[in-house]
Amino acid sequence: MSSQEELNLIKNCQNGNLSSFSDLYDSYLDKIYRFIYYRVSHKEIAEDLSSQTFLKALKAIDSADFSEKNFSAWLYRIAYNLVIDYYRSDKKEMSLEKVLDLSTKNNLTEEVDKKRKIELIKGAMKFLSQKQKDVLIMRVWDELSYKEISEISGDSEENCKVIFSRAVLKLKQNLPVDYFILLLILNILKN
Amino acid sequence: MNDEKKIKKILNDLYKIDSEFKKHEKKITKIIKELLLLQPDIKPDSKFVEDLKSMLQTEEKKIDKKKKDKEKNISKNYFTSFSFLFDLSRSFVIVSVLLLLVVSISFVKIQKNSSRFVRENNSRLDFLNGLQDSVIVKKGKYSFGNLYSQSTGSESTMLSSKVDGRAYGLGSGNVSMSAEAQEASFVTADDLSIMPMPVKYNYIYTGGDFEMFRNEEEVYKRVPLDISKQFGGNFSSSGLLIDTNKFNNAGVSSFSLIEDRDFGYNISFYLEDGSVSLYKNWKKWPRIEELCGGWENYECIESHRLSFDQILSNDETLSIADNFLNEYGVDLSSYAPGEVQNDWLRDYAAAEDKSTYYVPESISVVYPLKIDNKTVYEEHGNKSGIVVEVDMKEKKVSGLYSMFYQNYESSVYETEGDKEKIMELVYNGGSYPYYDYFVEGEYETVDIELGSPSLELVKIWNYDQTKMTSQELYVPAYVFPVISQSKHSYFYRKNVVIPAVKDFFNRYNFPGQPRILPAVSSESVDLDSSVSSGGSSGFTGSLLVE
Repeated sequence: MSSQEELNLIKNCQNGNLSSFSDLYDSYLDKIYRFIYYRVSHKEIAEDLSSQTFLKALKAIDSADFSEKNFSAWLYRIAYNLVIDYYRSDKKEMSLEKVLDLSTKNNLTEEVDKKRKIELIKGAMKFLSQKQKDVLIMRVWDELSYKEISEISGDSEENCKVIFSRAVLKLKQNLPVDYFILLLILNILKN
Repeated sequence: MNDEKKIKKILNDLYKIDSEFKKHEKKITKIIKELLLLQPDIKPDSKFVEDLKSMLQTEEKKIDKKKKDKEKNISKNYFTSFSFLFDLSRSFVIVSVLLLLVVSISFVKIQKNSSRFVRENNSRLDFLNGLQDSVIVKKGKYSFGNLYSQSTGSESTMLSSKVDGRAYGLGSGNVSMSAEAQEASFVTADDLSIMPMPVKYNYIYTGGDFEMFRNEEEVYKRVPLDISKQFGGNFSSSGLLIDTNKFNNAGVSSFSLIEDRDFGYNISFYLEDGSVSLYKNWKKWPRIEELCGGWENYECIESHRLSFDQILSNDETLSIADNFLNEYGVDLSSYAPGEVQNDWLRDYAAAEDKSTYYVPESISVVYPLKIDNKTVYEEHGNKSGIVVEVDMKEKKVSGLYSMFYQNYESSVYETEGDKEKIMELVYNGGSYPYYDYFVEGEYETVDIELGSPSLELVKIWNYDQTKMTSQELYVPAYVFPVISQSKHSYFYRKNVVIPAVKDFFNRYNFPGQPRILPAVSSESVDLDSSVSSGGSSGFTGSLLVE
């Protein structure tokens, strides 16, 4: 969906034609669901929080001002706040590493290698702050722009860029040499 | 965006922040690449997607309605506050006075009409609310005539089933059906071709001595509440293709409400007999044949077939049914708690190839009807009452049947006091026994163990062929529970029901018909080890043709 089409749908909703919300839902459900799932690692909770996100959005779209913020960031922000509320009420810490156990990419054929890689990445991620992990995942997995990340997290765009770059550096520093050797061997084998 | 492009974009962003990153491009590229590869491939469940969508659509409608109501209120407030008159009066004082007069007159007129409408509606609501309570009006002795001599329909079925001589079985079916219809809906052994041999059912009573009804007991007759006239006025119109105002004393015999929403219902009100049924509005529920582009797409249809794992637990099923009845304000004061009908599980357990077994799409929950604290049974032995169908796939109620106003008359009738006569019928398998055609010596015998009876009611239809009318009667009956059977068979009854009134016993002496009698023995019998003993001394019986 182009941004103009999206804008038209939002306008329709704000003019009282809420049936246009269905198209926005179709366009965003997968992304929002994934975004939540990466953070809660639980199907039912992800479903519940996704439902709440869209219900809140439906009720609030009428009064939201999209002249300065974009719809995508606004929707993610609702989801993000719900995730934070969930962890607050549950008195748990958000764990982004847990979701790595669910990795199911087919091109990693060797189960052992996959597990080893996951463990190494998980190990390196431990050196990152919660904020760094969050921004890293938003940028790489959720494919959000720095502007969007900034609107969701409440940090400035510049700050988000710095957080991301530091996260990458830290990962590089903390991934052991054998991780890169492992990747090299796998690449040679593949070729 | 493909992964390569994504990585390039991320790298470029990084270089803009600090060009030093370029020195480590290879390593950083690998890290990002791996992070992308490790991204779990997560997608929301398609059912969840659809459910949430329909929930949002319902919410959209609610918001829309609220808005409209609000707008209405604003305009109503505006007019009722007469502020518009104030606005006008500033420049057009005279006009405003005239307008005030016109509005006042109109207002009085509207008030008159609306108060009549409110009065009519209120009186109808009062009337309908008054029907919610269970009412039993006592009548004189034998007020309903002979309970069985008129019921030619039942007799002919019973006799023809004897002549027909096939074994009936499979499933408890819709418990709201009459016994005749129930029997007719059973799959016959001929159709099954699984049954290796004809079966002779041997009823064995192990329950010991039991309590009897008093010499005279109340029989109840349901008096259908005709509320058709209460709604007649709603349809008086000349705009309905034909001028309904011209019809005299017209009532509404039935009407249906159809919900225009996903998973909506079709609710049918039968006003002449005061009953309600609810079905799926099939246009608004997912249909496999539609999803698959027709029934001929066998593979697709098969892929949508319910698996055993998708069957909800009894607690879940019951909770869906309970919540639904609660949400829709169904008064359950005349009914016992819901019971999940899972009879099919017995066959499933016995099926050799479970992969081909047809798992039911919906499961019934029966809320047994109680009249004067006695549970009502159907003649074939299942409990009778409100039936709620729960769709296993959608986890929603898909039907509700047999709900009616509790309005009865009662009349005293003489009961059969001869215990041996009662037991004769018990060994016969009750009023609708299972029959099987067999040649002497070429059949297998299945022992059906029966326990002590409880004193309940049985619903019977007494059809008068001369008047072409039927009475729905609730007759005192002995309900003998089926405790066990000696081997797996196509015997599905849960109880053997024997009506206790004398009229019922009198109809057994049909002149010119072969009479089936049990051979009564006072010896107790050792059953198969699978049979749990329900009592000590007992009668035993097998069928003899006189």
